[in-house]
Amino acid sequence: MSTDPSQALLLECRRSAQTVTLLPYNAAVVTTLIRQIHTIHAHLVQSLRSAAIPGDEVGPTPTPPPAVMFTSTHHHLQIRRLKRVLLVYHSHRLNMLRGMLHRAHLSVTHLLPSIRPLLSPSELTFIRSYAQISMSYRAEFIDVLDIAASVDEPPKGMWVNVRVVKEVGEVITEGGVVDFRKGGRYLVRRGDVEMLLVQGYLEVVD
Amino acid sequence: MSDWPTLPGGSWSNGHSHLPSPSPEPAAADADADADADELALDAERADAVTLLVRAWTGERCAPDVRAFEGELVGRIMGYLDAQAKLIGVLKVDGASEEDHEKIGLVQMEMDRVGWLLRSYIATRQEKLIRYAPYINATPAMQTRLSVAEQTLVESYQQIFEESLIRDVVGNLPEELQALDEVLPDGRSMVSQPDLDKAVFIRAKQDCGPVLMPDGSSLEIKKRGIHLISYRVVEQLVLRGEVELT
Amino acid sequence: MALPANLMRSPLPAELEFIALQQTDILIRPHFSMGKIRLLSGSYGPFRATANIEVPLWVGKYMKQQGKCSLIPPVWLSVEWLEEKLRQEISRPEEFAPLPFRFAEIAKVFLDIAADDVPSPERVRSLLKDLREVRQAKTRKGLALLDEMELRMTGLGSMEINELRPFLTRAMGVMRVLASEPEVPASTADNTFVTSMDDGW
Repeated sequence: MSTDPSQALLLECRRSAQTVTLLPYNAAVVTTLIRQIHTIHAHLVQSLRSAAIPGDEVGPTPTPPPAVMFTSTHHHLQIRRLKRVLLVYHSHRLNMLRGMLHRAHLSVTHLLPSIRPLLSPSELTFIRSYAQISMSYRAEFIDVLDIAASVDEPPKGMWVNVRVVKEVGEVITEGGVVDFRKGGRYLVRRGDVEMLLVQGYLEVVD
Repeated sequence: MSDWPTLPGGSWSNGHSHLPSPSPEPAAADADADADADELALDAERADAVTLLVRAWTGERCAPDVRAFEGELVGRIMGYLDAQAKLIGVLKVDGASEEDHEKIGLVQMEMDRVGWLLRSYIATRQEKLIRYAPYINATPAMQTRLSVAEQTLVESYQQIFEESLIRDVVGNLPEELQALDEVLPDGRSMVSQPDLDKAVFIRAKQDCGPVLMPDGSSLEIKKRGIHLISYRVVEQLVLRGEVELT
Repeated sequence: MALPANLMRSPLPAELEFIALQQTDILIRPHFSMGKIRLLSGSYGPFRATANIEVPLWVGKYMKQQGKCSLIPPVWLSVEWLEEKLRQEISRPEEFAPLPFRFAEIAKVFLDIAADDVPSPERVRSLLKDLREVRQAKTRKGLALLDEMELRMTGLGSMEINELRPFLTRAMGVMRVLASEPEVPASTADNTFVTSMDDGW
């Protein structure tokens, strides 16, 4: 084998972390690594068994010959490293997925279309279940506070007083639903109403 | 919108605190409100709640482990936010004067600010809870620091996390390699734990007694002193409020 | 929303400014009249034109941005006070001159939105910059004293601490590992098996 497939997975983790993007699930390499573990494990079991045969059963755990010790330790370390790579790779992906769902305000329907082809079947189950448990947790607060809203930056305080020139109706803003009725005056975040200002539905009051 | 004080408050309790106290009368933002002694006391409490929330936020952000959930405080703040939101609704419906608009603006901005602070506090905890879910679930002392809702979150998360790893990884390995909670000979564990020895910045609110350092020496921490020091060494001082994380 | 990983490592400068706006009270001189207002953080007012009154910095900032008041700078945000501190900073190389804990955040708010209320704002700005440089040089010297256990940094402001945090917490972590017995490596706790890809605490 010219290149170590486990390195490919670690490289993918690093690249995905640096660019904050989810890469396609690498089922091929994952399967290869799992097969490698099985093969090494079989060798390990066999070498230990063959070393154990000459030992008389009465003696307390006979020490295998140095050559066997060396090979089996080597096998152990290889297995541990491969398992670790697999776990690092998969947990990294689950963490990425969590972050993406939070950025999509916990909406699986919003998130899935763009990333579905990138997921393993169990990752798909995971993100659906995660959305569910996050929604139940959010329900603890929702009548007063929507904890799904972004916390990336504290509020900047760019507020404007606006008057409604043309009837708008209900608009979803970062701070909740605002019912803009004609003639009404509202204090709103500038970013929430930029379009309505441009389109002439609202005007800034000084 | 349901009335905050009548909500089942059990989930706010972490076993030590009680239901949020009833929210104050929403008579605020009215210039003619009687400025009697009761009201001043109420104001003092309100100022205190936001300051306590700032402290809880800072502590949670700077501490390596999960701290005790401030259930009573969170309940109180939620009650205030709810009352203020209702009050604004009333003022808007009743038609507001120029001065009222000014006040509504300030009240809204403050709700926005305090709401963000509370969300950020909750989000900080949520991230730690998820990171350390298996560790927390295996450590009863940690669970007492969580609200009921947080405990549910941590339990469910560990379940779905492990289910996924079992299906994609360890379930496909030979039986004796399937564990998800091994500790390696070098001391590293598959289960992530908060690093209590992590260095943190503290600011002393008062003169503290000599602090015992890991090498057996002792350290004098004076009022207003700022130190970079292992969290484990000062954890008790932090809990007693003699020093603050910063 | 669970907190993004970059925020888990250290508060953002914007977050420290938010805290300073919340926790600092300042004097303003209103250009308008308004009755008392009760907020979560306390009751303020009644406001009368030209009568100075104490409010949280965020309230002052909001009113100032609406042209409804002038901000009165704190006593320390002045040429005389800062010149004195700079002299002290230079003449006492062993310690940091005592500045308000959130001086950097508060000064930034004043100079950003109310430079017209600060006498000689340019001189104030350059004094703050000089102070910053002298203090940074001291910090660099102080770092030589860093060991795996403790570093005394009394006198530093909240923003200065935050700038040093990523480097210092990491450096101390490395020193801790180096100092621990080689045969029994310390359980480098969060640098664990599964999360090692994440940039941990």
